[in-house]
Amino acid sequence: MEESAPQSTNKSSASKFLIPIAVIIIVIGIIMFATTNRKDEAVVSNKTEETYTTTEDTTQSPSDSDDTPPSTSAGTFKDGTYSSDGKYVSPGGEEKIGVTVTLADGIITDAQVETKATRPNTVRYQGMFAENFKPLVVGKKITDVELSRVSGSSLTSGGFNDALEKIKSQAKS
Amino acid sequence: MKSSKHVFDAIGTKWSIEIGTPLTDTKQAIILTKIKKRIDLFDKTYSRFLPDSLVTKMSQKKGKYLLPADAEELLKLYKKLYDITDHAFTPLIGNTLSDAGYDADYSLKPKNLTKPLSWSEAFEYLPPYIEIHKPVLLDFGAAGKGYIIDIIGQLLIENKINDFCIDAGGDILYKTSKNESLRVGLEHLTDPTQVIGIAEIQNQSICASSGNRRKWAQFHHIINPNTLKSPTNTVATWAIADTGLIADGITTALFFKPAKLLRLHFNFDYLVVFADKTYEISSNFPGELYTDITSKNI
Repeated sequence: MEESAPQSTNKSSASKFLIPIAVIIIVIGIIMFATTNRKDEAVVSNKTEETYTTTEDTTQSPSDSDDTPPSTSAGTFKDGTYSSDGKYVSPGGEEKIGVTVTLADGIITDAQVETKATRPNTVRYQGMFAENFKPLVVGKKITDVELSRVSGSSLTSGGFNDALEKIKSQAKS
Repeated sequence: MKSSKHVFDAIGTKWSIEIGTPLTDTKQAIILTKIKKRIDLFDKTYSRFLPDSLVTKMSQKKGKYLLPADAEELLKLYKKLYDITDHAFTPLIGNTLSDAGYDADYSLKPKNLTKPLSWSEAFEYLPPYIEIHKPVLLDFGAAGKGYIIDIIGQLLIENKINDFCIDAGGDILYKTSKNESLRVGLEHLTDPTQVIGIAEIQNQSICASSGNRRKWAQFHHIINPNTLKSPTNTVATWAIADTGLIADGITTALFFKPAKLLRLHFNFDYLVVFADKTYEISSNFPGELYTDITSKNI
């Protein structure tokens, strides 16, 4: 949508940067919730209609089974799908955004953002954010991690790599 | 007598075999000779890169060929994955890979590709014979490396060696009698000095497949026979299973079909990394993944 005045543009881009900050705060909140609720009942499997909110609006979708204590694994966090609504103040006023995080063995295996904004600009920015919001794999230096072996394919096929180098140099000459 | 490590090149990759069971120098030398002979025999049967291999002969002339006893398990896995993946996982991809440039000379110069024949058009396998109806270049690259590490593992066990780690270019089979885990780094997609996580395995195999490495023109080493293109959405896969054969086969099958479907037929843990660095991991994956929960927009 078109911006009419420079002032409005500044406001909007400020609003844009509030979203990731809000989401990071919510995710931290969810993780704290997952830690403190380790001893809570119900191992989580499916999402259901029912959601109940805590002070931080964090909910854990209950399982279809009964209230048996969780078989807590070695991880710090209890496995499950957690949802939370976060509030932040955009230049136009207060806005909401929903975050759902799936934890398995202490790893965030999925994360989703739901737009809950009402103002058109915020809807647009939250939509852009939601589309791109996913946990991503990152690297750590091999020297910083204790390892016996590495599984991958960099050592595969010396002959193949030689041939590729040859073609590259042929292409250059 | 002490534990030992043997490093050598074979079937176009680097091997590292660590033996935890103490052996005399003589015994070590005997075992190593047996291992190399067995790998050589495997290569002479299944390698499409060798001019005198059985697979090369079958690509030149139709007829009935005697396959070694180990072929049965390999072909059984291929047939099962062929059926599950709507024929995407197929040994008949050999001609297609070769035409794409992944040939015996590593020409890496793509020609026009044609769709491979179907399993039944090309051959019939009635152990121990294979009847080749039309000369076809079979390729066992999708599970062969995993299978040879199983075979070498079996050879060691037959020689009363129960503690070992066989690593064939990043495809690993680890056996222990001491309840000790092996910590395996999951190699970073582009930077070999980094890992994106760790897997801990015990009496299992971990295999990896990545489209980032053996890559030329518009292809990498996996080509979907139905589209004649290399998958680009999935960039790397890892699978942990009881055998190298299954783990290796699954890493390729994960480029074609979702893990959920494959897990209806096989027991394995997995990690799939997509082109945008998002991922899918099995909930009981034994290890740790390094992730960053931030948006690509930030």
